[in-house]
This record gives sequence, C-alpha cells and structure tokens, in this order.
Amino acid sequence: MPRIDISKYRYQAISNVLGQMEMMYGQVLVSTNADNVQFFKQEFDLKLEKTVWKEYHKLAGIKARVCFTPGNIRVQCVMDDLIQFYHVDPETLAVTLENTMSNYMRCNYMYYGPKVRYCITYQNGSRKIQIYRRKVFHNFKVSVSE
Amino acid sequence: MFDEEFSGTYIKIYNIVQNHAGTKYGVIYFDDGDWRVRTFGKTKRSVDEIKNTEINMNELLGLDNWTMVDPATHYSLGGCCFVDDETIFVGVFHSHSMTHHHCLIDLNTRQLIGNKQSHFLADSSERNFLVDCYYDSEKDECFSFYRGG
Repeated sequence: MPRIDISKYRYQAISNVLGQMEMMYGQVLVSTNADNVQFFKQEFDLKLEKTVWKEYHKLAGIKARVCFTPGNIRVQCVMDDLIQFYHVDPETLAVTLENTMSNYMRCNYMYYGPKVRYCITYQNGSRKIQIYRRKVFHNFKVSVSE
Repeated sequence: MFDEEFSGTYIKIYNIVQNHAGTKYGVIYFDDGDWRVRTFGKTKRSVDEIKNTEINMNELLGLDNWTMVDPATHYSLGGCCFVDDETIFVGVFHSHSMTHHHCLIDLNTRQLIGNKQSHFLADSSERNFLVDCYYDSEKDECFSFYRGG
C-alpha cells in the first residue's frame, strides 16, 4: 500500500502561466511559457509557515521546449535555431549553462539516455525519429608515476 | 518493437509516464469527454485485451462527459504518475465545474485506493487545464500542475 495520504493536499498559485514542463529529481520543476524558462523548487516560507513552490532561476527571452530524461543531470532547452544544455546540480539545484549547439537538424525534441550514450530527436510533423549514438568516449586516462 | 493502439471519437494525449524502473508505462487520454487510463509493458496487446484492462475515470470518479478540451492544444486536461509499480496517481480537471479531482488507483483491482479528492478552483477559468502530475518519492508527495499556475 502506498504511504501517501491524498486527502491531505494544499493548493498554491506559483506562477501566472505554466507551459510545457519537466520535473527533475522530484524537486525542480522546469517550465516554459511564451518567452522564458522558469525553474521552481520548494522552500519553507517563514511567514506562511509552510513549504511553497518558488521560482529560483529564470532564463529570460528564451522560447524553448525543455527536454529531460530521469537519470540525467542536464536539461535541454530546444529552440528553433539553438539547443542549450543546462546542468542542474543534484544537491544545490544550481543551474548553469554548460553547452550550446546549433540546432542544425531543426528538431523540436531532444532526449538523452541516462548514460548519455544515445540521443533521440524528433521534428514536429516528421514520420520518424532520429537516433544518435555516441561515437567517441573521451575518457582516456594515463597513469602518471615516477 | 511494439505498438499500442489508441482509438476513439476525439482523442487528446499529452504524455506517457513510466515507473521508476522504466518497465511499465502509463497514460491518461481524453476521448470526447471521457478520461481513460491505461498501463502497458513492452509487448503488443490485442484490442480486446486493451479494452478489458483500461480504466474509465469518469465512471470511477462519477463525472459526466461534458468536458471539452482546447482543440488548438494537445493537452488532455488530465495527468498521471506512478507511485509504485502497482499504484498510479491520477488528476483530472473537470472544466465545466472548474473542479480538480485526484485519486490513487490500484492497478491490480483497477479500483480507487481510499476516496477521491475534489477541489473547486475558485480563481480559475474553464480554459485552464492540468498539464502534468509528478511523484516525489523522497517526500511521498504528488503534485498536479496547472496551466494557470
């Protein structure tokens, strides 16, 4: 039997508009709307004396679709011309831009597997998906000793 | 490879969810006023098998089929998420009465666990809708997020 008691619920308005969204680590809500990407997390509000959802990071001026696969530590913001990879620290939940690439394949969705070996992209209206496999692993290590 | 067939009069599907292990999938979809929940694995099923295991949320929650979705979007006005392999959390927005309903469903018996919960969204509108539901396994909490924030 689940341990949840659904009769104890609370209602909170956290933003004016929420669009397409993804949940990371069960703690961070990444949501898009017309022209920005918002990151929300739960914080304890001393005035209200309860935990509330608060926006703690905002990517202004970005009209994107956010893509995230459970097990990953990055979220992809897929725009018409660019794809940005944001690292969300699992402990501090800090958001940092890690990489930006040109959206040369004009995809609308980009998902990576948890081991970052495979990537799936999809373009709206297309009859098929594209699957990319990681070609090179840059993990060559040399033992250095005197 | 496998495929899962969805058929009906007017269908809207937004999201397919998976359990923690990624071995079981679930979806809530809208069909002309009715919400239906189904779970499936990685094997192809017959139409009869799908019909026999599908859960009609309107019957389970005692809702009418007056709800109409926005034709311009693909949102189904409902969301679901796995709590564990045998339990799924489901939330729907009955737009005509502007009421949010949520419940837990036992996937073995296809019946409610406990009672359904309803909440009238006084500051909402009929155009509002439920975008998605998530489960936080650490705090044992489920979240339902609406378009209207």
